[in-house]
This record gives sequence, structure tokens and C-alpha cells, in this order.
Amino acid sequence: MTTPTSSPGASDMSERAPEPPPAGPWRWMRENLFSGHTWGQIAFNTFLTLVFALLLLNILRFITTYLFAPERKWAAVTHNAKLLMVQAFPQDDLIRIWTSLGIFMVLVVWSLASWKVGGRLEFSTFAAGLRSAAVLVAVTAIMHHAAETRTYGIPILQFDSPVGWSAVRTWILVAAVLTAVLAHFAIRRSRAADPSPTIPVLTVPVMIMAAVAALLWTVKLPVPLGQFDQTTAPIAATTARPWTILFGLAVVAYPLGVLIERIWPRAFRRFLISAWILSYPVIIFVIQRNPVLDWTDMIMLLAIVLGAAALRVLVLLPRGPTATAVVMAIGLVTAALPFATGEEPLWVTAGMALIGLAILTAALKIEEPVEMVRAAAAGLVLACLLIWLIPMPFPYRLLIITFTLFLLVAPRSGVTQRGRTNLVRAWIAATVLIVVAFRLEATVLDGSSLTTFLGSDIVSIVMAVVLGGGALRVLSLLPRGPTATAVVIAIGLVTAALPFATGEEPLWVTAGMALIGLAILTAALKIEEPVERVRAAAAGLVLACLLIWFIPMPFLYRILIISFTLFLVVTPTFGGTQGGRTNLVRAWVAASVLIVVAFRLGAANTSLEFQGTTFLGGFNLTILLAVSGIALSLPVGLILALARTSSMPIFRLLATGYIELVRSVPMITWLFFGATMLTAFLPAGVEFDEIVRIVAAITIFNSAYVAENIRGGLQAIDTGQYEAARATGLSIVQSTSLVILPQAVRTVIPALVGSVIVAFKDTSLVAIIGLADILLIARSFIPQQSDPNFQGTLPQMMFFMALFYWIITFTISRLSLRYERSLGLGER
Amino acid sequence: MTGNGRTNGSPAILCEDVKKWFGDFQALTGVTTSVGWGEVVVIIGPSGSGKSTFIRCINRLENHQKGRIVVDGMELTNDLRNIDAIRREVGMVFQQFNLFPHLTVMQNITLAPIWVRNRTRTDSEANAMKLLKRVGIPEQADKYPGQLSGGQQQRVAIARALAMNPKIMLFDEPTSALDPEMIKEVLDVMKELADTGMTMIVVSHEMGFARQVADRILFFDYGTIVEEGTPEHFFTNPQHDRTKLFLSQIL
Repeated sequence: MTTPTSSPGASDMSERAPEPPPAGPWRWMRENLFSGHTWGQIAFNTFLTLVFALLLLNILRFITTYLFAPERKWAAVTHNAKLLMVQAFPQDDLIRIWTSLGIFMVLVVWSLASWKVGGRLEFSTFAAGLRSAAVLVAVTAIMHHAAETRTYGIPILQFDSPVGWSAVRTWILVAAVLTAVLAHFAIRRSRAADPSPTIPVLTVPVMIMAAVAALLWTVKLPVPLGQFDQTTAPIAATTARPWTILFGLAVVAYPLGVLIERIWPRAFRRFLISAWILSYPVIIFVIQRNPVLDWTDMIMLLAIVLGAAALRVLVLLPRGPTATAVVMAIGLVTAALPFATGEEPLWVTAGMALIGLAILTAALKIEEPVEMVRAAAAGLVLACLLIWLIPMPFPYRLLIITFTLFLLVAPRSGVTQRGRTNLVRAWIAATVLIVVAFRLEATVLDGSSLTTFLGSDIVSIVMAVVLGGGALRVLSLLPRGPTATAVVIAIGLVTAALPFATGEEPLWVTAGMALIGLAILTAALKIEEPVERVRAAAAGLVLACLLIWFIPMPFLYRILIISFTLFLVVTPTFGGTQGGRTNLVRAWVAASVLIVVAFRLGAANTSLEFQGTTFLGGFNLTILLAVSGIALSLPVGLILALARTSSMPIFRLLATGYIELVRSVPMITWLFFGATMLTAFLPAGVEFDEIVRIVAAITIFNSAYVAENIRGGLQAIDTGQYEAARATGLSIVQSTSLVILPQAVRTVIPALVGSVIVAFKDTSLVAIIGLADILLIARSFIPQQSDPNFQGTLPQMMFFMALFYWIITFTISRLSLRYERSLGLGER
Repeated sequence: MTGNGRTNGSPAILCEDVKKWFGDFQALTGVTTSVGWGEVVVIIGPSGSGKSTFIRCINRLENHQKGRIVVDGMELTNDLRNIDAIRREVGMVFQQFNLFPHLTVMQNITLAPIWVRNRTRTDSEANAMKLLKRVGIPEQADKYPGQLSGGQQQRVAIARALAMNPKIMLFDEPTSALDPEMIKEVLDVMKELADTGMTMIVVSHEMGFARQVADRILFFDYGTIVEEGTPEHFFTNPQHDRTKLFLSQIL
């Protein structure tokens, strides 16, 4: 997409550049190995070439001799593959791991196909690579032969003559030479062809996978002796068959992905994004954990669905004061929900309600006389004082308050048909949310069943929805004017006052709260600017969040409610376009799913029986830590970078302090912090699984580095970009997210990839706090196990681990290089 | 076109004794002027005279510290809502183009209409294509700014500003970063725009353009208007010594 097309006239007029002199092996050697203008230079360069060639050959010989020595016991790798993969995961449930990997692999392959990572590769380049590899293999085989027959004088390179490889070596040699010759002729033919043929770059890894799968079945490693026969080898199982199936799956999935991409490119991409987001919780939460589903989980699911539905409806509201008001009202109610335990002092609730009312009133763009609103507020407070004596369940109060809030916005929403419909929709969503949230919590706490739940509250839901919705609908139909206002205020006064009627608290508290509320309300009446409104909302939200910490309630619910409130606050901003609405709901689903998963991840709620504290281990754990840590630290780092470059001193100070603190402490310290100290920082009774705490520690550490990288990118952006974006009318948030950040992140992709690779490798540090990642298993579990076959195989295991880390990091780095090119980095 | 007939009684731009300091340095020492609807005003003057600062104050890329600026009947204050409202009505073209390098020409032009005016993508793209035809480079729509010449980039920048349907256009030395042969293509677009009745304020060193297109010329020095008048008056019969000196040096 970025290839510059030369203007049509230019190519006709300009003369072609002279062809470079033909390249050949002799010329190449002359220029690269034995170059020089004088005999002295040539002699010196030749000397250097020979010395380094000898050195390289010896190293190669050393490695080959080492690799193929009979005492190497490579079976320690293959026969412990399952242990390396999953550690203590139950044998009977291994299919879960393979299913997860299969999903992961298909998604990776399809994503690569869909985003056309890498584009196309000239066939001659590919063949040249193949030729080099074949030559290398051939030289290795010959070297191996040389090592077998005699020893050189350097003591460290002396090894016993390996046996048993001769036949294999011969075949390898023949195959390598044959491949090299074929590749050589292929290069010649494809260079002669015009245009030169190309293949998709991704064919290369797919072919490598196919080759590895073939090797798994053809190369037979010596089977270990001793206690691990068919019957007693549950833990030391090989993984050749599942890997072959997986590689086969990838090989089949790639062309399929290319085909789908060609037919439905956009839908395919959308599907992949959703699939990626969903795959994480599904794999971790469902497939690998095999959870014992109870009502808590169902409730979480329901809350997510309901939240998404409510957001979807709310973003339909036309932008403007009405939308803001409705959103604020619902936000207030949801923010107040956590207080609904029946144990909290009522003044908290009342205070929340009044603050919310103040926000709401301020949010209404007041076209009606200000006095009217003031009168309404005063009357409301008065009514609160008066109707204080009627006992009533808390949810009813809350419902009534909500209704009042809706009522207040009814005159403005009622102008259009659409406004009326939306108001009713919003009301339904709000009430359902309130009641469900209340009852669900009660259900969970009491351990009641679905029937109790339905029996107890379905009535109140229906009543609230039908009665409230109907009333709103009718009232919003009233013509605007003094009469309508009067009616609305009258009903509003009564309904708003109802919830406060318990008569348990001292009257001075009520009076004080009422006065404070009145003061806030009056002050808020002067606010007309949207920014101030948002600020007021944010202040209220922060207050609510602070208070939430002091009220008993399952921690997860708090987080979900707060996040929903945050989403609500941004609905007017993102509700403007169809795409924005869809994305908002998507983001909500993703966020809530992530929150739930983070809480439940690795919790004991599973039907699996495993040894140790967690069912995660080995490769499985490494991948989980790496993916979670990286996926979380990127957005956190982004926010930190923005905060650090912000013009607001408080954000700058906080971000700078955080980054400097985190970077000046070693990662291991943060891991210990996550493992042992994090719990002390959380409210009593809140406990995360160890894996979650470690992911948090990794995120804390990596995000600081990511933030510094992105900050570098932000500083590289010309201020003119920001000015131009603002001058075209984009808001501050839009300018940052649409213009500044894309450019900043593009600039620092190489540095970010560096961070990602470091983060991946650093997951091996979790071994120190006792988690069995793949490196710990390779380093300690396998060489120290009781089977004499595998005792003392540490060097082999380390060699294999080096290869494992190298393959993954090298792949990441090559892919990112390709990605940079496709973005045209450096061209623009 | 866009500039005509949309008055609400007030002039397009009204400035009263606008003052601005950068630290201790006073960049604007009291600018008082008003620009009528459909008027093309060219601001000239030596560098450091406050021309650019003044034009950037009009859409509040810089904020003035004293005096009043009223644009389209709205006074510029610290109220963000006002500023955003004004910026939607005032297009600006910069000396360094400031196109968004990560977006194609088409995306550059449609970004603000889609996100600020909530237009659909199809509508914005159709409109952007019209604008690109108007500035003479419809075939470049899918290229990136880095692949265009300076003159083409500046024409895209003009199209981008016009895509928001502004009532007023500000040009901050639009041709100063261009090769001489590209200056003409940009000036032609600006002339064509002036012919449509757009209200324009142009900071420029292009005397030919000023003479030909301007309704009025403001000569800036020491952060204020030293002299103003029609092009004939200005080029043939300047009153002020400073103006005479400036003209003698550049003509």
C-alpha cells in the first residue's frame, strides 16, 4: 500500500541506470574475502579471512561433535516434552492444552494471512537462502565426519569419536548436496525469468513447520532405558503426534486463511479481532481450567451482557446535554450501587444521591429558568427532610431516585420521538441493571438458587420497567412549558423524597447533607461549559470510587461497577458514529471479560486435579505470562507516556515518579513484591491468584520501559502536527489519539519490539519465586529427576532452551522488521 | 461560496487592542482592526513583526493576554467550547503544511469532517474528492504526503482546511517553504478561493499576490499595524517611513 508509484512521465524520459557488473562467486570472494588495492592489503585480508575461516570451522566442528555425541541423551528433551509443555497438568486432560494451542496457532496463521505480514518474497532470494542452508548442513556433515576420524590439536575441541551416525550422516550429506544443487539451478532459472517469480514470505515458516513435522517422525532418537516404559511413563510423554497435527493444521489453515481473506477481507479481519479478544479468556478460563460453573460465573456473564446492552442503547442518544444528563444519571446510580448493602450509614447514600443530582442538574443545559431548577432542588431537599420516616428496602429507594433523575431530563428528551424512545430505553436499561445488580449480589451472598432469584425480584424488575417506562413515556409527551415543568417537578419531588424515609439516623446528619447538597447544586447551576461538566462528573466519580473502598462488597463487583461507570462517562464522546458505538461496546465486553478473567484466573474453581498450587506451568505458563504481561504493559505504558508528557503537573509528577521508581528497582524485586507484598496493599479479604499477581508485577515493570519508549516517540513529533489537528477542529483527545499517537508509536516500533523481546525472556525470572516456567523445568526438574536416563542432562536442556528462546525471539524480531517495512517506516 | 451571506451582523473578525507577550518580549503591542465578510486581507511586514503571532491568535493557537478578539460573533476566551466552535469555522494553512504523514491524502482531508462534524465516510470522501479536483490533484488521493511535492502538499493542506466548510481561512506564510516554481500553483488555488468570496487573512511575502488579490493590506512592525490600506494606496503611495523603507528593500 505504500509503494511509491513513479509518475508516468518520469520513467519514459529518464535513461536507465547502467547494469551492475555481473555477480559471481569469484567476484564475490575477491571483493569480500581477499580485497585490497596493493599486494600488502590483499595478503593481510587473506590472512584474516583464513584465520577466521579456521576459527569458524572449529567452532562448527565443536558444536557438531557436541550435538551428536552418543552420551548426549537428546531423548531427555523429546521424552520430557510434555513436562516442558505443561508441568503438572493432568494427563487425561492434555487434549485441553492441544486444543488451546490449536486455536492459538490457527489464529496466528490466519492473522498473518489476513494482515499479509511480510508480503511477497522473490523466489530467487528464497532459493538462495535454501542453498546456503543446504551448504551449511553439508559442511556440518563433513565436519562431523572429520571430527569422527581424527582430532585436532586444540585440547578443548577434543571429543570422543561419535558412533552410530554414519548412515544418517551420509543421507544428510546426499540430501543437502542435492538440495543445494537444485536450489542453485532454481536461482538461475528464476533470475532469468521476467518478471521474477515471487512466493508469499509466510510460505517459508509454513514449510519449516512441515519439515519439522516430517523430522519428528523420521529421526528416531535412542529410546531411554530404565523405568520409563509404556506403563510407567505418564509424566515423561513425547509430544510428536500432537505437534505434527498442529503443524499440519497450520499448513492447512494458511492457504485457507489466504482464500477467506481474498473473498471477505473486512469481515475476516473483524472476526479475527473478536476471536483474539475472546480466545484469551476462553482458553485460560474455560478450556484449560475446565471450570466448575456456579452462579457467580453466570452472574458475571450476565452482568457483562447487560452492561454491553445498556451501553449499546445509551450511545444511541443524540449527543448533547440530554445524552450527558442521562448518562450521568445512570453513571451516578451505578456508582452508588456498591453502597447498597443495607449496612452502610444512610448519609453516604444520601450524599451520593445529592452529589449525583448536582451533577445532573449542572449537566442539563438549562434553558428553562434557572430559578425553576433551584426551586426543584430546594423542594427536593425539603422533601428528603420530611419523608424520612418510612422504612423501605434500599433498592426501592435507589430505583425511585433513578426515576427522579430520569424525570428531570424528560422535558428535554421529550422533544423528539427519538428522544422519547431513547429515554424509555435508557430507563429500562438502568432499572434492569440496578435490580439485577442488587439481587445478584444478594443471591451470591446467600447462595440462593435461580428460583429464589426469579421469585424474589422478577416482579420488581417488571414493575420498575413497565411502570417507570410508561410514566416516562407519558410525561415526555407533555408539551414543554410551565405546566409540564410543574407536573414533572411535583412528581419528582415526591419520588425523590421517598427513598430517604427510614428515620434511623439522627436528623442533623440529614439536615447537614441536605444543606451541602443544596450548596453543591446551587454552585453547579452556574456551570455551563461541557468541560466543567465533565470535571464535575469526574469529581463525583472519584468520590464514589473512594467511598466504595469502605463498603463491604465482593471486590470484583466494585471493579466491574466502576468500570461500567467509566464507560458511561465516555458514551457521549464515542457515541457519535456507528463505528464508535460498536467499538465502545466491544471495549466494554473486552474490559469486563478481562477483569473477570484476571480475578478468576487460576482460582481453585476447577474440576482439574493437579499437583502443586497452580495448574499452569512450563511452556504454557511462559506463554501466558509473556502474552498477558506484554498485552497489558502496552496500554499501561501508553497512558503513562501520555501522562508524563502531559501539560498537567499532577499527571506528569505521578507518571514520572512511577516510571523512575519502577525502573530503579530490579525486576526480581517487583516479582517478589507481586508474590508476597501485593496482598498487603489490597483491601482486607481481597486476594488474587498468584499468577495474576505475577502478571501484575510484570506489567508494572514492563510498562515503565514501554512508557519511556513511547515518550521518545512522542517527543519526536513536531508540534505543528498537534496545532494542525487542533486547527482543523479535532478535540484534544481526538488530536492525541488520531494524529499524535499513531505517529509516535510508529517511530518507536523497533524499541517497542526490543521491550517485547526483553519482556518475553524475563518471564524466566519467575522461577525465582517458585513458579515452574519452562526454563525452571529444563534447568532443574528434568536433570534432577530420579530416572538415571535424564540425570545430568543439564547442558542438553540448556542447549534446547537456548534454541527455544532464540526461535521465538528471532521470529518476533523478523516479523516486526517486515511490519515496519509494510508501514513504510523511514520513508515517511 | 462558503463565506457569503452568513453574517450575523458582526464582522468576520474584530480585534481590539490585542496584546501578547512571550515571557518579557512583547510580540503584539496592541492590534486593532476588523475584517469584513468576504474580505481578503494580506498581512506583510518584516520577520519578527508579529504577523504570524497575530494570525495564530485568531484561532487561539496562541492566546492573547490583553484586548479582545471576536470571531464570527464569538469572543475568544479560555472557554474550550468557544475555542472549538471557532476552530470549526476557521480553517488554517501553515507554512510547513503540517499534513499528517501517517494518513493518505484522502484520510488527511476526511479526518476532521468524520470525527468533528460526524459526517459519514462516503459523504466526506465524495466532498474530499471535489476539493481535490478544485485544488487540481484528484489523482493523488491515495498517496501519502511524503510522496508529494511541496506545492502539492500545500494544496492538500488547503483542501483539508476547506473540508470543514470554514467561513474564514487563515494562511500563515503558505508559500514560504516552497520552491519558486511551486509557489504559483498554490497562489493560483488561493486566488481562485478568494474569487469565491471566502474571507481570508494571508500572511505572505508575495507582493504580486497581495497587489492582485488583496482587498486590504496590513503592514506590521513592532507587533502592531503600522499602516493599512488598499493595494494601490499601499504600493504607490505609502505614508509611513517604515513602510517606505520596507517596500524599498523588497521591491
